[in-house]
Amino acid sequence: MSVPAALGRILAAAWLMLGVTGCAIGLGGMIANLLGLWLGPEAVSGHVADPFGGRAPVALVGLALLAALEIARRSGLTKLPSAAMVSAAGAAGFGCMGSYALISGLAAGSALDISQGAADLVAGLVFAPTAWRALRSS
Amino acid sequence: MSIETYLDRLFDLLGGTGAAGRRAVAEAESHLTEAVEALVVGGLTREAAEAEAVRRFGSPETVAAAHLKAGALPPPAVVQRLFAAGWLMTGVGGVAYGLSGLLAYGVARLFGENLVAPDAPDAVFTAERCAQLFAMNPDAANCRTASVVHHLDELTFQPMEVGVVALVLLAVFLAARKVPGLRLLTRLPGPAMVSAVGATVFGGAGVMFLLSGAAMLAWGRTNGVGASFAQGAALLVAGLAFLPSAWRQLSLRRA
Repeated sequence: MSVPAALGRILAAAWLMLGVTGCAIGLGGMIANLLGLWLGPEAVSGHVADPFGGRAPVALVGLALLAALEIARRSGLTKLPSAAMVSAAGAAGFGCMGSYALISGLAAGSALDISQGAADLVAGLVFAPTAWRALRSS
Repeated sequence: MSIETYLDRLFDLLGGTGAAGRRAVAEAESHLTEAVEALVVGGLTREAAEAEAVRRFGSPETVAAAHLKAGALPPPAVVQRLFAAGWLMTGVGGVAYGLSGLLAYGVARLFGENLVAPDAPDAVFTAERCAQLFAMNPDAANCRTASVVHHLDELTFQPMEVGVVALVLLAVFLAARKVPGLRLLTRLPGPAMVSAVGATVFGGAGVMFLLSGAAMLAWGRTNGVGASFAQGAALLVAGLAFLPSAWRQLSLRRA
């Protein structure tokens, strides 16, 4: 594969990860709002009163990025690296980041960090089935 | 369902299964094409022949499930490979942590301890915390100095100790890979997965620490900035160690 083609796939992978990150940030805000309803608004209002409201634009940008990537893939404009590489990177990357945020959030009693950690773990789990299949056939 | 749609679905379902999955899709395409030709000769229209060939071959979900079941590693073997990958990544992470301590030590020696220790000049300590810090560093001139010494130890010497242990861990891993009886515990997943995880996780974490250091500087804060840059640089080096293999795996892909 030529260098530009390989770089194009890296760019597509970064595009995908940015989109998923945007969605995870939005999901983190939603979970924070739910925790606020459950634990009381003071549990999550240390920084902002409405975590999801503040992060909704980021989530929308993430969704738009993912939709644009899908359109670009279907029209043959871009290709991702192999499913094994993308799924392993996604599962490990978001899984590690989520675990770190969740553990530090639990240790510090920060509902916002706990929410974001849970959202990142969900993002990592999205990649898990493909990563598992790739691992079983490796 | 047309053959094209069928093959697209089968390809999606077999995503991540590598060469075996690619061969399965190619075999399905060959089989379906032959079946359609035979049915067309038998008097069916091409559209009807495709639908009939697909019906006889089985749904993409059934075919993919059978393929995965036949070619997949058993769960104990998967767990062993995850164990080996965890061993390798823990070793590399530990060495990177040790390297960050070494770099932070160099920064402290060259540019001063305040650039590494996160204690602000106007830091306020509770009496209880102050007593703890003096217990650890009785010769310190004041509470903040005791805290700086304490944090320097945490950010330089302790990581270096962990780094030495991690080097031993990696050496044992490499040695164990040469022992046939231990191969089961040291057999890694495919290089595409290992290199992608190493480059992404360590490289990504490195970039985050470097950005965090840059943000501290942008906000006019210098205390602790050296530690952030040292950690970022060390993690970036660890990520770069996986990059050649990741690039090879990426470039090998032809599809």
